[in-house]
Amino acid sequence: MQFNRAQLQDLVAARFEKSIRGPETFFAANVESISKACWAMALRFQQGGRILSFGNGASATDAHHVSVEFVHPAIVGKRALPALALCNDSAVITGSMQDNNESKPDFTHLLEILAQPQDMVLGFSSDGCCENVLSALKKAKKLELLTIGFGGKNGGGMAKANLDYHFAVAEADPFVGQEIQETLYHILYELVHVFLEHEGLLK
Amino acid sequence: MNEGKHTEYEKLLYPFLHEDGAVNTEQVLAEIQKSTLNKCQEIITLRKKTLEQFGEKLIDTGIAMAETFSKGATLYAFGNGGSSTDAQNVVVDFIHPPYPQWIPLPAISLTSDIAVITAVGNDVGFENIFVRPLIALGRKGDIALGLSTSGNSPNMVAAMNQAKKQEMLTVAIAGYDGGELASSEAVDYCLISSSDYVPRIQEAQATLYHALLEIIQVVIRDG
Repeated sequence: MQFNRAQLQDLVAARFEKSIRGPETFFAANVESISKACWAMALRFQQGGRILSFGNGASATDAHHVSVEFVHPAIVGKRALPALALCNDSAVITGSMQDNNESKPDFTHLLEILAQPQDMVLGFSSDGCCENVLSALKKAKKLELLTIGFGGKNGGGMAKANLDYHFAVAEADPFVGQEIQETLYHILYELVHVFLEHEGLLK
Repeated sequence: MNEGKHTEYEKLLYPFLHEDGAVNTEQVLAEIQKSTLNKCQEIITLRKKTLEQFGEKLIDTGIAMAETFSKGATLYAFGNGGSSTDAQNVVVDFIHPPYPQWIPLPAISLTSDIAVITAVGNDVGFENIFVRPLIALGRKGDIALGLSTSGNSPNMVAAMNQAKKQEMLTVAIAGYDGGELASSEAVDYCLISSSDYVPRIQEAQATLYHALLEIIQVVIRDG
């Protein structure tokens, strides 16, 4: 075998080092908008709004993950909140691609059909450039939904989409960027409940 | 405000909810910002601890998985709730690697087929939802990868027992103290993010499986 253990130890140390260093910079820079996003989301929930989340590939699993955190909170005693992952249903996804002759899942079309005025959308794209995610976020903006984008290093098109909240994770490594996005949506989910438990703040 | 609704843990975490008198928005926003930065430190600390405790075992696990893939294995990944999305995340990173120099490897998520899950759950019970597809799909020399925060999910423990019975390589990624999976003879490798808080456990587990993917790619490339 060509590889040796020392090489693998270096590799593991380097990966953990990136994953340990990344969050500090990101959360220090974004802490204020995170707190405001929690408040905005809590206001939407208070008005009967739902989360609609979407993304492609690995980001689709993040859309699912954030959705289940709200519907069935792992922290005992937290109330169930409405959230739907739009990338969930293979019949709907493949159907929309076939009908529109699209090479990408059409989340925009789903928003047109499913979205209600109080809803909020969470769009995930590891580099901020996924066309179908951007198109859906722009549609959500037109529908006056609360728009929250989880994007990547240079912001991509997401930075120019005039979203209510845009979180650009400035990491070159997609795994590290995704891990920071995961901590971010966990924190949003953990802290939205603080506002909901304090209704005086939601008037 | 209903004091009685809040647990001791919440009182510790969100003290402003329990102070006398009115709470203003600015104060809550400031507390939420403090809490956010605390949570950020928690994940940093947990990743350091996870590397310290399981860095070497992670390498052993990656080498074993790489050697098994080299002999033609297919990987089956599974988990419940948020961990099911992590299982699907691992699978998509095997099939569509995010780095151009990585090779795609055969991996299947047992959590994606709602027909199978509801059929088995309805007919023979939820503890069998991963067992049944493993019986149908799994072959000797394949890999079972289970993700669980508690390490105690009955369907996970049952799936590991079944996979071992079929002579598969069994890998578990757990939280807390690893639960039943950590001491199970059916589990060849158990990697643990030792925390008792589910969101942070999952975030540290993500680093574990991301590192695992990288080790596997390097060992297969250079092996």
